[in-house]
Amino acid sequence: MSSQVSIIADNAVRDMLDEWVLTLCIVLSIAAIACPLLILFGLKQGVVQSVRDEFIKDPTYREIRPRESIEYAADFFTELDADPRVELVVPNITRSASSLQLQTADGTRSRNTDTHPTVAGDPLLLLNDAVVPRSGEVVVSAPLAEEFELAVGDEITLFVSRRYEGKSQSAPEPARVVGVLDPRADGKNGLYVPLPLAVDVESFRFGRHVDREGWPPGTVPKTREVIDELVVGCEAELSPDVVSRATIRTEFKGHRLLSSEEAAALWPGMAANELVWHAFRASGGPTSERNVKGLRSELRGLGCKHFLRRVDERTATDADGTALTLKGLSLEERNETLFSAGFERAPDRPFSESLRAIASASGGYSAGGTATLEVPVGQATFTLPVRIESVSEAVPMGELLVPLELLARLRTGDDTPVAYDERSGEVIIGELGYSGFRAYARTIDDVPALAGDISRLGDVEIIARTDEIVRARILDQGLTKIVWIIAIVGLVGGAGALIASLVASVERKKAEMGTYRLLGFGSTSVALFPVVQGVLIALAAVLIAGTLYVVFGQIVDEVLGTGGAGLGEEGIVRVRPLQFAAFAAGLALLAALCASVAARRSIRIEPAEALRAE
Amino acid sequence: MNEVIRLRDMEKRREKAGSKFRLSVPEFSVGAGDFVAVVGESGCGKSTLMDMLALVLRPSAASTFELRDAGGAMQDVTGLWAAQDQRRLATLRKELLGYVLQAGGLFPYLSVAENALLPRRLKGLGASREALRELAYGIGLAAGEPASGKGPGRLDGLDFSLLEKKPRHLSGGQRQRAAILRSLLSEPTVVLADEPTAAVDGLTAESIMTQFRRIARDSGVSIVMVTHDRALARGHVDRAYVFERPRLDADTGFVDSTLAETDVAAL
Repeated sequence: MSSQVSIIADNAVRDMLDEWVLTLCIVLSIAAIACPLLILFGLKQGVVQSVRDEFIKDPTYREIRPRESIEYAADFFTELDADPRVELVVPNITRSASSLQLQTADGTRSRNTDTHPTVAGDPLLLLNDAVVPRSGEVVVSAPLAEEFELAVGDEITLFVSRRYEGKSQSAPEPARVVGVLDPRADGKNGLYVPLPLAVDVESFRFGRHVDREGWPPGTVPKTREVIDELVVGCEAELSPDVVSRATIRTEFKGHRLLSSEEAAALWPGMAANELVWHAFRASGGPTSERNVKGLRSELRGLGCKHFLRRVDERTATDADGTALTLKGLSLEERNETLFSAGFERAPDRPFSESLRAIASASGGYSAGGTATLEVPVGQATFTLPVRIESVSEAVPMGELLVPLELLARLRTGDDTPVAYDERSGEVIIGELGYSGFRAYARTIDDVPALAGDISRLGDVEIIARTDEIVRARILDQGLTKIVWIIAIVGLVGGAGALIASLVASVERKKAEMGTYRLLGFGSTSVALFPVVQGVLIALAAVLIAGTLYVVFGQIVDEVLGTGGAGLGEEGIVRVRPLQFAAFAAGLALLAALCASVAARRSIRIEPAEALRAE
Repeated sequence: MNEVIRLRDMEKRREKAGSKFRLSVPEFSVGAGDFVAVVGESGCGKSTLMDMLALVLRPSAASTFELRDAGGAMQDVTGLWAAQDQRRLATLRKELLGYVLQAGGLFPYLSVAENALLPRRLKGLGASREALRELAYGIGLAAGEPASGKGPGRLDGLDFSLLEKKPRHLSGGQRQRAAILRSLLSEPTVVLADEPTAAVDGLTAESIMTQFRRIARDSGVSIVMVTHDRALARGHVDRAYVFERPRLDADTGFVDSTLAETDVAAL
C-alpha cells in the first residue's frame, strides 16, 4: 500500500508538472484569493496590534486612579497589593498638600508644581525613559523640563511652604534631576519624588514637624475648630431675600426659624428672651470660622445681636458607664448675657483648658471634681479627664455643658484621623493615611474589570482609560468580523474553483485512473491523486501569496507610513510566521477537503474505464 | 495442453435501455505460450469478453473460469466473484495479467521507461534496466544493431532515446510497442491485447503482430488479442476464436452472440 501511495503521489506531482500551464492557472487563481486575504488579515492584525502595542508601551492605559482625594484605610492597599491583576500600587498624598516650589540651581527661576510620589517599579517612569528616583533625586515631566530647561544631572531646590502659627514657613530640599519623562506620561508640570519625601511634604503642609535637614521645626498640629450650625438672635425676622443671599454666599446652606422655646432648649440655662432666632446650618459637613465671619458680614446692620456657634451633641460615658450627652457652649463674650452660667472666654488657650464642664446639680458631680469620660471620635475612643467647673440646676440630668472648643475639635476627628495626646493634653491630627493612589493593571485587558472592582472596593469614582481599551476591543472584533466575511466569500470562491478544476482533471484522466486500477492500484490509492494535487496547489498558492504579501505589504506600509498614520514602527501590515504557517495549513486542509470531492469521483472509476478508452 | 485460462459455459447477460444482449462462451482456453486471437465484428461482445478475462467484469454465469497463477495452481475466478473478493481479483490482475490497450494506455506525464517500469514498481520487482533494454530492443524500441554474442554490454551501442521520451512524442506504433513493453516487463502469465493494431498503419500492425508471435514463442507468455481484422490474425496467431453473427432469440428477446473456436486458416 505504501508503495502504491508513493507512486501515486509521485505521479500526481509529475502530472502537475506535465500540465504546468493548467497547474499555474489554478495556482494563480488561488493565490489571487489568498494574497489579498493575507494582506487584509495582516492589516487588521497590524492596526489592532499597533493600538495594543501603544497600550502596552504606554502605562497610562493600565493606570487606574481615583477622581478625588479621600483617605484610604490600610486594608485597601493590602487588598490591592494581593490582587493578581495588579502590577503595582503607588500611594498618593492629598492633592491639596502636594504643591511645592521648584527653583533652579542659580535661584533665578521658580514656580509651583504638583508633586507625585513614586516607588520602585513604577511603570509610569520606567516605561517613559526615566528611572525611579531615590532619596535626593527627582524626575520631571517633559513640560516642566522644557520650561526650566532641565536635563538629567541638573541640581534644583524644592521649597515646601506652609502657614504655621500665623507665620509663613518654607522648607528647602535639594534634589538632582535623574529623569525627564516622555511627554505622553505627563502633559503637565509634574514632579516625581520618592514616596517618603511626598509624605513629608504633606505632613509639613499640615503643620507637622518633619525631621529633615533645614526644614523649620513644627509642633504637633492642633485639630481645627469647626462648627455645624450658627444660631443667630435678631431683633426682627430676617427677610427671605437676606436669608437667600446669606445662604448663597456662605457654606451655611440650611436655614430654619426657631421659636424662643426651641432656641432656649439648645443650651441649658439660655435666656432666649424676645429675640427672633435663625439657625444657619453648614451643608456637607462642618464648616470653619471663616464662614462664620462671612455670615456675620452678610447680616451686619440687620439687628442681629447674638451669633451662637453650635456643634452637634456628642455622646460619652463616664467612669460609671453612665451615658452622657455633651453640649457645647459658645464662649463668645457677648453670649454671657444669655446664660445664667458660663465659662470665661478663652479662645486661644490650649485644648487642655477646654476640658471643663458644667454638670447637672443632680448628676452626682461636685464642683472642682474630675469626670473621666470615654468619648467616641471617628474610629477611636478618647479618654478625657474633664474638670467639673460647677454644677447647675439649669443643666438637665444626663447632660454636660462643655466649652464649644472641645466639641469643635472632637468634631474634626469625625472626618480626619485625630489622636488625644495625653502628654500635651491636645487633640492632634493623627497619622496621615494615603489620600490617593495610582494602580497599574498587569495587562490592558484587566483594566476594565479591575477599575470596576477598585471603584467598589474603595467606594470611589475611578479614572481609567477603559473607554479607549473597550473601543480597541470593538475595533478588533469589528475588523475580525469583516476579515472573516471577506475570507469566507473568497475562500468559498477559491474552493469552488479548486473543486471544479480537480473534478475536471479527474474526468479528463478517467482512462488513466482506470489504468491505475487495471494495473492493480487500489481505489483509495488512486483517490489520493487529486488530493495530493489539491494540497500542492494550495501550498504553491500560499507560497506565491506569501511572496506577494511581503511585496504589497511593504507598499501598503510605505503608503500609510508616509501618510503619518503613525501606527507603529513595525509597520501596520503584520502576519507573524506562526500565523502564516497556520494560514498555509488551513488552506492546505481546505484544499484537501475540496479535493475529496474529486477523490470520491475517482474512487468510482472502474478498471474497465481503461479498456473502454479510445 | 498446459492451460493458463480455462472457461466453460460462461455467459454474460446485459439489459440496458430496452436492449438485451447475451454473450455465450461454451469453451475457451489458452495454453502457455499461445498467441490466441478473438475475432469478431463490432458489437458482437469482444470487449465484454475482454473485460471478463481482465477480471473487471463479473460473468453472469460460468461453470468454469480458472487462471493459472505463478505457482502453477489454477485459481477459481468464479468463486472469487461469488465471494466478491475484489482484493484477490486485483492481486490476480496485478500478478498474472499484462495489458496492451487500444490507445496504448500510457501515462502521458511519464517517460516510456517510467511507464514500462510502473507495474514492476507496483509489484515490488525492482527496475531492471538491462531487462528493459533487452525487451525494448526485442520489440523494436531501439535503433541500431547490437554487438554479436550474448554478454553484458551487447546493447551498449544501441540508441534507446525513445525510452526517455514521453508518449506524446511517439508515433502510434511506437506507443503500442511501449505498451507491449510495459505489459511484458511485469512478467505476466497472460497479455491481454485489446485491438492493439486499431490505431496504426498496416505495416506497423504487421510488425506488432510479428512481435507478439515472437514473444509468445520465446518467452512462453500467452497472448490473447481481440481484433476485428481476420486477415491480420490469420497470418500470425496459433489459435482463433470467432464470434458468430449475433442472432435474435424470439422467445427471450435477447440478441445472442456465441464464441467458438475456429481453424486459423479459415479466418
